Amino acid sequence: MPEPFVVSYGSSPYEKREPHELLWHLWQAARACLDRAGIEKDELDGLTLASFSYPPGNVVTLGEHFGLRLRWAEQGVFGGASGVVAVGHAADAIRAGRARAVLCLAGDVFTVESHDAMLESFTPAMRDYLAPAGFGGANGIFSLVQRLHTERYGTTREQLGKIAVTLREHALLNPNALFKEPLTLGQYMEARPIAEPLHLFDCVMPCSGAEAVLVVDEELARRTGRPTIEVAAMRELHNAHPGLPLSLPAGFEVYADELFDAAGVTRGDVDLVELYDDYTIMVAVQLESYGFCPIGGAGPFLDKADLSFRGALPVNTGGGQLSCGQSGAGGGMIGVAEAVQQLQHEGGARQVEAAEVGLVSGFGLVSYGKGLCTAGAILRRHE
Amino acid sequence: MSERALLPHAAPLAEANGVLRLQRCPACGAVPEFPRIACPRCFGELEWVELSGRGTVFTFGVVRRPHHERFQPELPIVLAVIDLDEGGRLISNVVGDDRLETEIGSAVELATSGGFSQLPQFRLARS
Repeated sequence: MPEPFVVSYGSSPYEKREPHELLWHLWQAARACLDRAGIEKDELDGLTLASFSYPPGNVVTLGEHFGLRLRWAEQGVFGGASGVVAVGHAADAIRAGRARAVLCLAGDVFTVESHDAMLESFTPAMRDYLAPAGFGGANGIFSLVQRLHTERYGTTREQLGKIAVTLREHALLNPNALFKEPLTLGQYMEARPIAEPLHLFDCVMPCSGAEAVLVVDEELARRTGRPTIEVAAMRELHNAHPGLPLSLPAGFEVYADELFDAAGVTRGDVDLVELYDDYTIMVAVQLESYGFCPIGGAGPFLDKADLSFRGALPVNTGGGQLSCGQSGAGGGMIGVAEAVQQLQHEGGARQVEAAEVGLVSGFGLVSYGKGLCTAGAILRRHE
Repeated sequence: MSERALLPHAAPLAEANGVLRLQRCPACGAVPEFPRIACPRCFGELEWVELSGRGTVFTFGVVRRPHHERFQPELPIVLAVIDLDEGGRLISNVVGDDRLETEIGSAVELATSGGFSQLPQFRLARS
């Protein structure tokens, strides 16, 4: 069975407005990723794409645009979980002999305004039942989670603020991040309310950008001469809790043990985690759900934990979506690309020392009160 | 901007006329959180029933920044998950001048006036 390896990553230059169109961002991320690996465009025989702003285009029309003949293609329809799912499915396709070189791409061009407009009819249930309620977009949906988490477990804004502040520290070491100024806990606390209890720095800023990673078979991986990263395991779960109209619990907790077991690693083996950080509260929920602290225990955990790249459990080492900007569906790939960069020991000023094992988590397709899609993968540096 | 017409299977939700009408499954008793073509628990046919309109707030948020300018006059908007007394849990609004007094556990009842949507909305119970 051919062994798949992730060998490269790439990003387009993130932009706050839209001087460039979507195809430019996808091209830039793809070029950066292929050039880093020394793989020619025409060596690709597999492609995945996640993008909210590309329809009526899809993965196949992108192949047409880029001049690719594809033996295997998959559209990422899993919202912010699409990046993690894509890497897992690409690895499966290579193991099955269906493809040798799969480029996994995700990106969008968004402003705050165009992102709001998209959410108006993002899913049937959101269009028909939440938009008429003046739900405030995803901000309103996740205000429900933070309120309940605070009520049940006593989680404070100061505790969640630690996530925002640490991610900003990481972003200052990432040239592609759109946020260039330090963030203090005081600034976090004093920010204006968006959907209480959410305030400004609990929420992502929609932007334009794209992310890519490249998964190839062993022979091609050897040829690149790059450090090789295994997709040790991936699990996905959609509509984890039918009938529950909010993301608490969110679904990660259902497969977390199975994911670690399938990868043959323990939580203690994990050197870095790249969580889906559309909101600070969802970072807290994922820390709990994957078992890095007890369910409901994120607050006290955050009081003590050092989430920085120097700490015991580095979280979102590139600044995440919260401090880089959320490039639409690219926000579901930014953590995958960052994990690959770290595991290839190319993190530069923010490199996690001797990083061998990373957890990446995806979450998305918000619909009736919750994100429908969850996915997690364990990536491991192969020696 | 007028509200979009609901799909045929969901249309009765917007024809409330002062009572809360929701679907319930005659076979298994499920009350889906939003209208479905079939019961999401047992896959059977659903029927529309009138409920008391009373419930409690399970969790809520206070929207200060609208996703569309048409909601600017309604701010702040209280978005709430409501547990209905007869079972079922749906997402709706708490409306009324006293809506910012909403807490988790607040008793609510169907709002028959003062709302801004064709969908059912609630107000803090007056008792």
